[in-house]
Amino acid sequence: MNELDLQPATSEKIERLDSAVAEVFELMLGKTCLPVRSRVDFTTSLTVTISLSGQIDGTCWLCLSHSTARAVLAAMLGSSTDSTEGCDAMIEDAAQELCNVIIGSWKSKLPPLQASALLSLPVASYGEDLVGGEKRLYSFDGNLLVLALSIREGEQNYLTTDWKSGELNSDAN
Amino acid sequence: MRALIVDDSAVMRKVIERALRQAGLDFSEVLEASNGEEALQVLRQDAASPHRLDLILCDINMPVMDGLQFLKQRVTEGLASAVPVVMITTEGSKPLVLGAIAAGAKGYICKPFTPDQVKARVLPLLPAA
Repeated sequence: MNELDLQPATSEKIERLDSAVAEVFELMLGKTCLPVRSRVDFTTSLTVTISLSGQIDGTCWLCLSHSTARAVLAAMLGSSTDSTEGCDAMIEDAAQELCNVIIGSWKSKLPPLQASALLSLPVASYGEDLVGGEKRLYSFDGNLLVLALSIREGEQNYLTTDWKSGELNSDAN
Repeated sequence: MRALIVDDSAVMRKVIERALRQAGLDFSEVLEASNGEEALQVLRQDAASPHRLDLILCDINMPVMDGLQFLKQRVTEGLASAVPVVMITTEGSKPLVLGAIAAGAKGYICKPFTPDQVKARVLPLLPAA
């Protein structure tokens, strides 16, 4: 179990990420999902990874517990969380699709050249601390999930979610 | 009316089907495929059906055969050529979307989407009631 100490967002790029998360949760899940800006305990059991390649390249990670992934699936299907019991393949699928749509929505908010970067297919893996870099925490209906981005544009570090210093590690605008 | 939904995510296929219902679009049968190759197989088998498909909703980024390859191969084989195809995708990048339109898609919907957005894009393409 990891303890996350988070600082407030200061950058337009992170605001885009928050906006993408909020939009996806509202439109696809019918839920309100907001950043969490306090010290919390968080356990990852499922991590979804998507790579970007093109004008910008890097990786996006979505980390969540199995119970949160079940809640995501239930919300996507408009069903109860109980009905998702035992549907492990669908639960994993829902987490992969959530990550896919969030990063796609975030990418669509970038300038056209950066937005043309291509997404890989999402890959799910199990365990803790499989994510590189620092993490940003979100919550919906009491369920927690973590997103982390490590994006480069050419030689420059385009965006790395780094919250310990309260600053973004970015050389670009 | 009959529709084919093509997406590698089984969950997303259900989400799309649910959005069609919520949009009030009444499909008596919804076929599914998890990639472009499976979709072509569905179209080949469905060619003999007395009731043709009315709509194909297709993702772009899929394993085995992606949405653009599916569009091109569909034309090559002359499968369901009169059936409108709408891309539903996270890949809203202009080159990919333009590529899909050039390959025969009639429009696209970006994820995430609302039932109203689906209805607005799909309804004009369906047979008149």
